[in-house]
Amino acid sequence: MMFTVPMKHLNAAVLQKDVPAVTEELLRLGSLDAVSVGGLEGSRTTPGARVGGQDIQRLSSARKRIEGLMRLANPPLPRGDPATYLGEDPPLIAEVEKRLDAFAARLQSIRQRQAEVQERMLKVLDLKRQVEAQGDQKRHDHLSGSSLVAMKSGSVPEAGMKSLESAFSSLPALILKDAGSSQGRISILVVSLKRDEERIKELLDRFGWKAEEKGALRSQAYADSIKEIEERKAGLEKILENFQNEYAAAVSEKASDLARDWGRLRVAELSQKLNSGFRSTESVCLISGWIPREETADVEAGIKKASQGRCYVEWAEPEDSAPPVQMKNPSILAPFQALVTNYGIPGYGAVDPTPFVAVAYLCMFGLMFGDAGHGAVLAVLGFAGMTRAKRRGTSDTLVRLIFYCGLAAVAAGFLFGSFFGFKLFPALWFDYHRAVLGQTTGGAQKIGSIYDILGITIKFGIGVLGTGFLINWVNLFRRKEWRALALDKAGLAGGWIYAAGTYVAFYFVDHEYRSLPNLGTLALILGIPTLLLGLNAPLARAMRREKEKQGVLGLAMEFLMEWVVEILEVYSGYLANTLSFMRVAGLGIAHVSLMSAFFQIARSIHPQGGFSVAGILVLIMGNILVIGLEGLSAGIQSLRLNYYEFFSKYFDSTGRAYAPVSLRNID
Amino acid sequence: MSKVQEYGYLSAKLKARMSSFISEDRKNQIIQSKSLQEAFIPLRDSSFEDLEGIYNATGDIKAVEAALTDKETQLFGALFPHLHGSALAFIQALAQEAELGTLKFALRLWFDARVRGRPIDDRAAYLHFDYDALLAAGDAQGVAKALGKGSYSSIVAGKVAETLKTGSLFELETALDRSYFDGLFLALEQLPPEEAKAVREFVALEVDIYNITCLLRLKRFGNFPAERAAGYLIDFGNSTSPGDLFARYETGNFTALLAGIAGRPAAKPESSGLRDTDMAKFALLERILRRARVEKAKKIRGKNPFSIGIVVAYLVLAREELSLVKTLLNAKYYGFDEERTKNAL
Repeated sequence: MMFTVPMKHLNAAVLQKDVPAVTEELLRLGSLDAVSVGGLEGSRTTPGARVGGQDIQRLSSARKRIEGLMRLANPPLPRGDPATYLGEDPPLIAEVEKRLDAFAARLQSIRQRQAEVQERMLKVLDLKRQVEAQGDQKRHDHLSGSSLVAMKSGSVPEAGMKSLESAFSSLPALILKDAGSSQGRISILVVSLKRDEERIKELLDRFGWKAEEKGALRSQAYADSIKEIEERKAGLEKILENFQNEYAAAVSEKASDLARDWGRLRVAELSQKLNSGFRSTESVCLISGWIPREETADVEAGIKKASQGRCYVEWAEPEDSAPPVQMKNPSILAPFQALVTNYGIPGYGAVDPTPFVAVAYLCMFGLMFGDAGHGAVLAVLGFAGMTRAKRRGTSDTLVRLIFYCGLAAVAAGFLFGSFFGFKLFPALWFDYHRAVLGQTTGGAQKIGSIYDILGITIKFGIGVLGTGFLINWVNLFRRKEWRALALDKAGLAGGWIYAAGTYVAFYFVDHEYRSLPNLGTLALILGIPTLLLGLNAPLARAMRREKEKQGVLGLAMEFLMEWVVEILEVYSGYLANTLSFMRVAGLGIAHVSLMSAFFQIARSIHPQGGFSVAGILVLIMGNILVIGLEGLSAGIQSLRLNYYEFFSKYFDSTGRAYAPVSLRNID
Repeated sequence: MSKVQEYGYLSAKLKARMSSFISEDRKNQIIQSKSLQEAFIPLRDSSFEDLEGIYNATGDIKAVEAALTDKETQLFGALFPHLHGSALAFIQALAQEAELGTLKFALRLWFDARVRGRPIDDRAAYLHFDYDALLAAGDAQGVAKALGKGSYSSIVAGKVAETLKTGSLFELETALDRSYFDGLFLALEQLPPEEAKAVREFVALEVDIYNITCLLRLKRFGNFPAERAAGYLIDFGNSTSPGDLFARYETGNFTALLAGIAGRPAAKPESSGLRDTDMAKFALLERILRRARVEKAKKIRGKNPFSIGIVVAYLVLAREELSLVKTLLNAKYYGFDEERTKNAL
């Protein structure tokens, strides 16, 4: 946790026939960050293992397709553990693709049938809408007239009635029948949309239609139509519901097959990926890669077990080669590790900045957003986001960070005695609101003004930057870069200047901005390290043992210029880095000021005292605004201070992330 | 009101929206999807997420298309409250194109149902009920009455009898289009000079795309006398007048036509397209012009954010995105493979 994880380099040779078993074992262990072995001098080696492989792209796209299909279920189908399928024969990709195509076609056919019923439903709904718009015939003299619905009464031969009804079933139209028949003919009333009049007429004529006035049928037309439409609608709704059930059943029926195919594809894909880094001769396969030091014993045992001892394993310390970097932190720190890796990967063997970032980030956020109520809102939102992410199987990094920030703000709220801007409990440290509003004169509170708050944040900044120096010194010490440790601007000389500068600044403030330490002290504490900085460039040049093309004078001028630039950079840069932390106070003050402004507005609505309904609304809206606006600002500024002030002191983002091929990988 | 006050908020809002447009990665995922159902998965967590729910509830691609059409209408509607004066009038004039599109669709349905006696139930299902009366109209008078006092009712009323006589909607539709462009040019003239300058090129491209589509339709109908055919084209004072344009079109000289219609660097033809059939050439030309319009919008996006240019650029890109999603989903519906889907874009 303190440093990046130490690595060892694995070189192993196994027989070709043992490659599948060894590959599976390495996948199970999930520790090997494979390194492609270059051609060995004097040997005939070829890249990759000599095992039958399938196109990795096809494997990958089929696997991703299954993931998509699994997400069609609600909730998404679980993938299961691919380790279950270790030892099984790899699936034939063409067969899997065929199965997936058949499954997708089955789902599509359900949707297609559903679309046909949906079309019928839309016709029914169209007719319903228009019949309802027309209204009840009993309340209107004529059902047609200006209406969009057309009605025809008449009769058709009884024998053709069924065929007629069948022909009408696909139209937005109804046939209302009279009870009984006369002379082999049955009286009907046809209700249709006017736009279909031509088609309806043509259809009726084909079935021997004879127009006749049927008053009885017409008098019941509205009620009968609505009844008939509702019956049809209910029937279609039932069918549509059945389609949804059929779809869900089709997906869940395939759940175990999909999980199995996914697991086997994943194993095959990762095996291929791992094998592609190996190198082969006719009978031997060479495996090379990085393993965390604490896992070497397991890996060696695994390779020996899988190859039944037919192997040669050798371990090497990282010397000139650059091992990958693994930062191993408790999962609780995952959001902060993400913030670090978002900036860059630290060099191998360096201090892992994650725990420091966690502390610094949360302190900064708390100082800028110190309100227990607002913090509780953020924490609840973050927690809800975490629950949602867990349910959906997605990353919770950001929402977890919001949750932690909320908790930090709650803690800071207790320190400052603020709950949604109200003072519900005494401040454990100092009352931020009173300090900002200058209401602390004569009280016991030591932090009584904005200047005091600015002072706190500057001291906090000095602490953060000082930690940055310490981390850099540790890193340089571990890398045995003695010159940089001694003379670099972020080395001991730079740190000396920073510490001395801080002392001088506080001395100046303590003496009411009137005097500085005496000249002798200044020369000792600032002059010496400043001179030491000047030695850095010549010493670096000397250590590189380069042949000088310039003359002595030219070189001296170059060193002098470098030194001057370095001095300017150190003095102005460190001052700016430190003063940059005043933004922590600035945002904290803005937070309090905004809340005070909303309180004033709320009180001015009801000057008699207390809060009116409008005043409470103002407070609620104000709190929402402050939580949204200030929460975002505090989050961004904390990140900025970490990235630009803290990291600039020590962070060397030259590392490569440790990326073992593992069954646990998610992409 | 200063330009910053007028466009500051809207510009920030539109830029934020533009940053969440469908990414190239998502687009490729849709293209690679093996079925329509799977094509909705990459749209999750985007502004098109609701489409999957609509498809699942109906199984009907037309319902999805209707939702996309609604989204297009909402694009304009969401801008109106933030615009004022001549800028609002210009965007309202632009919005007429979408409204006109729906009206023309409704008129085609009415024509199919009433004149050709074809079933329209499936196509009419998702049409807004404002058009119920139009679809039910039995004659020219009924059509005019159904449209009431809408913006285009007088044009429809004047042309519908001719439509019934000739058995073609072409005249009516071109009259409606002309009316749209007249309104657009008028609104453009009323913009302050620097605002008009920011959007003039877009209008010119709009005209060019229209003219090409029009020529394409004329080609389908067969031989049209040059004088009459040129009359259907819109004249916006581009480098080539509609008369010249049609003359080049008649000679079948695609390269000359291309040079005449645009004369823009972005309108360079792809050599493979030149060997294709006339129809394919026109389709290619339309694609080139659409691409030029998108490139122009992207360029404007990075320029002055406090002008109507950013609003028009947003509309161009947002409508292009809607069209992209519609095309991709339709390609999946018709079972196009990856290659054919890419060609359809």
